Amino acid sequence: MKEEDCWARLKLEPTEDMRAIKRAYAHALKAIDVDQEPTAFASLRNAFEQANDIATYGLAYLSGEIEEGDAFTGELEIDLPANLIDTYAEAQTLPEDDPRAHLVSLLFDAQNPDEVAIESAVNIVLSDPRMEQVDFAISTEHWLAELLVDASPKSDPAIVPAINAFHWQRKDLSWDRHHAVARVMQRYNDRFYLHALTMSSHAYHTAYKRLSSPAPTRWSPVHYLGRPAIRSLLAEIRSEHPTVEWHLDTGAVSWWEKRSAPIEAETRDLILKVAIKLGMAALAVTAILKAWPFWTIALAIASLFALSSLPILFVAFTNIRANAHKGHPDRDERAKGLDTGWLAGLPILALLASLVPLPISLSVLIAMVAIALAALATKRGMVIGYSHFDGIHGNRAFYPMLAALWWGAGYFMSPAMQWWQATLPMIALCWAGGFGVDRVDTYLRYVPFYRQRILIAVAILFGLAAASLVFMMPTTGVAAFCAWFVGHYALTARLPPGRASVWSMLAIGLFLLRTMIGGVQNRDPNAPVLLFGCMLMILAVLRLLRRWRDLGQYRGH
Amino acid sequence: MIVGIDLGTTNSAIAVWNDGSAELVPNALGDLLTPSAIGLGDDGALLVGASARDRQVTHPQLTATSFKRLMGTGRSVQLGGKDFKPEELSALVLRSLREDAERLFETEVTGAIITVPAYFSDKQRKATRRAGELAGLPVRRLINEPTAAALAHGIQNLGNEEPFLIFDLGGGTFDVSIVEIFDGIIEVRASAGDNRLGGNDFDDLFINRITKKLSDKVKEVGSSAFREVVRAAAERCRRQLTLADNAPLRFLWRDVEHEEIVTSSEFELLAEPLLARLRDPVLRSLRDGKTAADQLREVVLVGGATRMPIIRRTVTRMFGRFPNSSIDPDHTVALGAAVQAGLLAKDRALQEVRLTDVCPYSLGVSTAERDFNGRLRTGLFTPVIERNTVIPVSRMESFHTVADSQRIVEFEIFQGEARHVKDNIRLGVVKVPVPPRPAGEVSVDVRFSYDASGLLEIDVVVPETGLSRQLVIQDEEDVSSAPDLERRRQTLAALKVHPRDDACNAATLARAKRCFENYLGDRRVRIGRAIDMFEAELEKQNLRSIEKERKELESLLDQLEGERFL
Repeated sequence: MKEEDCWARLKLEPTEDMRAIKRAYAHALKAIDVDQEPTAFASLRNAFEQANDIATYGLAYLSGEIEEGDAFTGELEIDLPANLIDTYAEAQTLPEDDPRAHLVSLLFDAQNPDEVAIESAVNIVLSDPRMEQVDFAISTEHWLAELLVDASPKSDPAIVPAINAFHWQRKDLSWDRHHAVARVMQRYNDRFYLHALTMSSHAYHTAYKRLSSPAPTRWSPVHYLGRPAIRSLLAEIRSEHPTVEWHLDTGAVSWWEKRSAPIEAETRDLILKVAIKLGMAALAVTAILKAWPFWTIALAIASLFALSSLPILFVAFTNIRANAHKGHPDRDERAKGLDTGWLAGLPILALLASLVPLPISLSVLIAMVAIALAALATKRGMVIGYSHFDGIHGNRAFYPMLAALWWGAGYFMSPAMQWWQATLPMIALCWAGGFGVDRVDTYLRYVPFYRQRILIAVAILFGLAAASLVFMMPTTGVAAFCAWFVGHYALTARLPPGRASVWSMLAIGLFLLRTMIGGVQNRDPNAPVLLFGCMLMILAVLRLLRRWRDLGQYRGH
Repeated sequence: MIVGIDLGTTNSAIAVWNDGSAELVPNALGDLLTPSAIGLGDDGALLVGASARDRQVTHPQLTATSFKRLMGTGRSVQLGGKDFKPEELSALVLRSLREDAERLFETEVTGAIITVPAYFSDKQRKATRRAGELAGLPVRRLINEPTAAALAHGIQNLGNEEPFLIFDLGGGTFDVSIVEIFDGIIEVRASAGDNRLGGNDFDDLFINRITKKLSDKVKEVGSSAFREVVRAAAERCRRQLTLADNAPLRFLWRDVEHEEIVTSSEFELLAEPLLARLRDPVLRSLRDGKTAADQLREVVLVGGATRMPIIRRTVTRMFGRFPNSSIDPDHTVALGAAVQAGLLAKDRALQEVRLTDVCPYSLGVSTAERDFNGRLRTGLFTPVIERNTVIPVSRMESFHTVADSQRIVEFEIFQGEARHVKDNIRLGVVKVPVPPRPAGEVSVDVRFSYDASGLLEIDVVVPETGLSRQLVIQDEEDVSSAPDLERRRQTLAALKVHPRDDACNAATLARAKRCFENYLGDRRVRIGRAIDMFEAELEKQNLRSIEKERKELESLLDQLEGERFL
């Protein structure tokens, strides 16, 4: 409500006299029937409250007589009601024998205050007989909350007694807490998170260890892999658990931050453009040389760099639309809509290329057109690994890429077996897998923390069932892949991005190994591959069990 | 004639605004308070009031008390094989009160103001309204109990300017309100409370203690019969502690007498956890009302339980001053309801008086937000109407979609103060379709309108498409429509109720029989003989001798157990 309107509604000249405002409000209220005229009452009430605020905080400032900046010259006199004045300031001048003064001196004057001493000092303050009076209790509560915040982290031992005394943890009263109380509760929760980080099974445990010990003396390739996790951990700490940052080594934090900043958008674009061009060149060369198996391998490697171009080939239309601009780091870019209608052609092309037994040359042509379209899409700013779900989109590339690999690798199998007999179910599985993994993972993010245990268990069981089913199939390579698929999903679900990439690459390596063994020695390559698959499965199950156990222990978030 | 009714957990009362002041209406027994108790008599007729309450100990399966605590829960009470809903039981009490008023003033009661605890949820309020309708009593308005107390008190102190605090500890609920009066405007500034704290909980302390002590000696400590016997003894002991420093806790179980002396300080120690619970609503209301305790003009005690010295001591220590109980704490709320009845009737004596109340809880919707890592956190509570906003009120908030291509925006309506909606009370849900757009580009406006009688209406509008949806918060019970309610009302009206003229006799008889069960030896013999003589007189149907005999029986009982209390 505009200021002039409020005085007009009350039929009063602007004044700081609360009494007069009340009188005017009473007079106006008696003139209306509240039940019959609710809007009239609403406007009257708004006017009254606004006039009250003006009278409380000073007429001069709000009417513009004093301009911004005048308040600092001390000319503005605000006469606040007693309970709005910060009682902490008053408490600074407490008498020496007051237990509150003792607590303050313990927290600020002592160098390394004894935790037990702090806890007993705060207990003495809380059991003061004066706390029976509500005024004293309210002001002590505010005072103590602000003291705990100011003296953090030294005041940590005093947090639990304070929470118990004032019931700050009560869930049913929490949406509009006093700001100091909210910060004390934040610190309380942050300590749980900190404790969870120290457990070795936590996803960010290594990242935490790196950040809390002194910075490494020199850069090694191992550090390269740790960067995404560190980035994510810092982001999470800064947004959710700010006080945990006090426990990190500042030197290490800045060392890592300098080296793990995401690549600038322009550089990244450049790299991708080069990679795609290289990939297309490799594809063209191998196609010309008619070395089809190598063509598919080149396709796979090219897609690894242009991380999302192959998913665009194989993933459904809506997904593309949804993700098209979500991932751009710049918010304004994200807000700009992108016309993505023409991308519908891509998956259709890809589908044709993979499922319909076209002549090789035609399918190669179609695939190349698809790659070209994907490259064009990339140029127009499509998501290239920036998305919120950082690791996952990278991994989605893995499955379709596997399909392409398998397609090429099929040539190494014995001529007796139709290569597409193995390929078709594989490709369908990969496609479904890539799509499905993303869907399931998105779903998982909406699911409350406590329900994830159930879902993880379901994932394990489903994987085991699928693997055992497929074991029956003649092409045991498919069985191997299933084991890998489930293992890979279990491992990558909710893992920090860096680690997910590691596993992806390991799986790729294994596949390449498999094809090479099969091709070079011409004996059944499935046995060692199956072995690898089982190993991964076991690792996956172990890891999931550990996560299960941790979910039970870790309740801080 | 519009009446004001205090429908309490333990006792109810009815008052009218007559001749420029509020006046309580006595019942058939001559008492100003009628116990909220319904019992099934030996002849199959329903008993209402003191006679039912006294039968609680002797016939626990045939008596229902404290059913206010069950209002809005969907639970029902079994009385002699029949199921009664708590609002039906309340309706019976309301009907009896209405008859008292119509008898006294010889005019028809055309409407009632019924009081509810300020912290009563939406469901509980709707159940109270239904109770009125089932009694055939049009409910003009529901007002909060501390507000009614503020009215009763404020009417007598219209000149004063500083705020005062109402401390209302009834049989089953605790409410605190901070009220300011200026220029005839009685303005409630803040309200807080605890729905599960009242005089009955203090009785439970004794019951639990006795149960623990006698768990190995008495087999049936868990049974409801035992609990009721001990409860009656506990209540008596508690009341006697109001007048003396120690009181006996005495009861008879299976012909074995159990007695112990309870001192005032022992009671205070036992009651410590309950006394600690009294602080939270007080602190909250002071904070919300932006008032300090030393700015209060006075603290007004309301509700029978505030007679307890431990409560008075606690209040004195909390506020650093002695509380005020100039109006009888049992009567304040009903008198206040009568004042509101007068205000509604636009009585000339109240022309310069107005009342504004507040909504004691926050009303809002369930929202989700994305954190830095892109994770979606759902189930967060965003209030649209914050608590202690003056009502009637209408507030609007804007929200936007959270996912790309989101098709439907769903608003779940909640009431409460918790940050996560799972800790709040769900009232309903509104869904509205939205055009598919990237996340955050579609905004939806939600308007909450809460009126003085506690009806919440929600309007949802999508500005882009102009599509809108409305929702009026209705109880599932209300959805069963008007004819169903009418049918239930008729069924209730047809139930056989003990005749009003005979109420005194029924009450005395119930009391005598209770005392008979509670004494041994020659005291029991004396009571037995007196009962026999009284029943003989009842047979003869000579009104004057019945009355004489009844008075004698009453005085005998008074000698034995002290005065009959309410």
